[in-house]
Amino acid sequence: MHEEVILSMKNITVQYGSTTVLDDVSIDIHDHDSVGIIGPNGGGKTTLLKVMLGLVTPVKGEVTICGLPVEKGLTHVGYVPQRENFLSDFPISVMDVVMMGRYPKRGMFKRYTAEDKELAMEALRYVDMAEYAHRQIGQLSGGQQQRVFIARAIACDPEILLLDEPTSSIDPVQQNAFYEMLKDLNKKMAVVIVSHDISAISVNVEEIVCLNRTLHYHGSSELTEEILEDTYQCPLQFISHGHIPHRVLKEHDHV
Amino acid sequence: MFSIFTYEFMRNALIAGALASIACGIIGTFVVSKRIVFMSGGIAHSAFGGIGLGYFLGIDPVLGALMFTAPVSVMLGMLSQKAKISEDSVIGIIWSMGMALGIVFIGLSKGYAPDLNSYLFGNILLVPQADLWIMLGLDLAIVAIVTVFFREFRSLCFDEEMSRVLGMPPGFLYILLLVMVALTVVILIRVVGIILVIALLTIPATMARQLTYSMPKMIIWSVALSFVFCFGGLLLSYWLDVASGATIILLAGSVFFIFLGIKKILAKRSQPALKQQ
Repeated sequence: MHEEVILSMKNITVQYGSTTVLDDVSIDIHDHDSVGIIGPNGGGKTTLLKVMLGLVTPVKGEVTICGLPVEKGLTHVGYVPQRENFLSDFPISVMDVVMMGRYPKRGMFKRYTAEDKELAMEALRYVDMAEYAHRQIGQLSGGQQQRVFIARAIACDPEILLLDEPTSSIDPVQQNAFYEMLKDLNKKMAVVIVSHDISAISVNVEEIVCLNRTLHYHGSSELTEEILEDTYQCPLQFISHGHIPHRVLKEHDHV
Repeated sequence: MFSIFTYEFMRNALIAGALASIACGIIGTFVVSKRIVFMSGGIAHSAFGGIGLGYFLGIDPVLGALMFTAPVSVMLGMLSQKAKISEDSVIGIIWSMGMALGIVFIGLSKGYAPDLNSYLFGNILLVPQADLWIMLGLDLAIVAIVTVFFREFRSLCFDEEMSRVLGMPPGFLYILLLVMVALTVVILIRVVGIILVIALLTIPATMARQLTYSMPKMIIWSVALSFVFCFGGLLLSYWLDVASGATIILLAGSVFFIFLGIKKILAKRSQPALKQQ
């Protein structure tokens, strides 16, 4: 069913001081996979993402992207951060933000070419933001900014797209369109979403990774009550798949 | 009115103002965008140690400042990245240690320091020819570095973590930026002095940011505004016979607040117009 391993993490252990954040986590992501990473806050979701991006170096274990070590493999990764840390009046246009996505293909000392501009524009057209190309990024709404950041991530034609809490900046009405776009992108690249929104994720991806310091589950997104209880260590919203996803809130012992 | 520029010291002052404007317009843009104003203040004040070193070694104090602030800014950058101490504490320590070193060096030097005030508060009318050449050299270095690494610096200011993911070296770029702040401080010492440097790094760039959404244009506006402030301050200080450095800063600050006031009035006027539509 799956052919090529795009991103491989073997026995990843991460420690912050004396705290072990990730303990012996191994995950392989293949081309055309769509994976949701869930788990409680502080369970290591963000850290795992940072390991994939080479921002956190594990004390143990190995990460490869398309068979390359992380720093070199990052040219095959498109990353959509949760929220950019820029001030809303930062002097940069939408087009210049998307052009940043072409940087890994060029690198230092090499100017962007007409081809880079065309590919950046194409990415903007794909996310339906071409008409805003010359606007200042801070003038856009949260949802529009996110589409620009997706354009930047796909401008380098990546093998894998990583998204950190992508639905936090868009309102519920836009979520369906957003997941439709991801499904379309998934035809060309693997998609990995880190999210706390279990119900939305589980209906929109094929595989789920449950993370709470260790890897609790990695498999089909048909989650069972047991898997979630095991990951979150307490009963919680149970998701069932049907034509209309619905939730049943179970009795909570801890409150 | 311009007959005063037949004097050589006035022409030198004008050239010094222009050279200073190039540096503080470019670097001020990044200082404001990266929000390292306080960091730059620390580098500026530590330059006093270099002035003292210059006196102590018997060389041009501006060269002493250059020799001193460049390594200090590298150290500041590394400490703020690696050490597990908060950045503003590191700045506070370097800031005061630099000044203390300056005082000790000057105390150890033979004789006394006659023009110490001009390093602290600047005197654009007394810039020696040799310092103009140093300023020109530093300007060229800054323009060259920023031209080569413009995309990287803009990305660093926009989102440091993303720059790393894109394959840029943000740690190196950050330290390079601080070194350029140090060079700019050295250029500005003769014009407005160590204490007042920070105003020329922030006021023009902050105004420029209100005027445009493009960083290259922001740089051009900052350079132009800096030059207007230096030139205007120079003339005012000549006519009113007051300290030039302070006049330049007060002119820049006053224009800044007038500018903010006008902006506010314009915004209020345009609001009712919007409601009518």
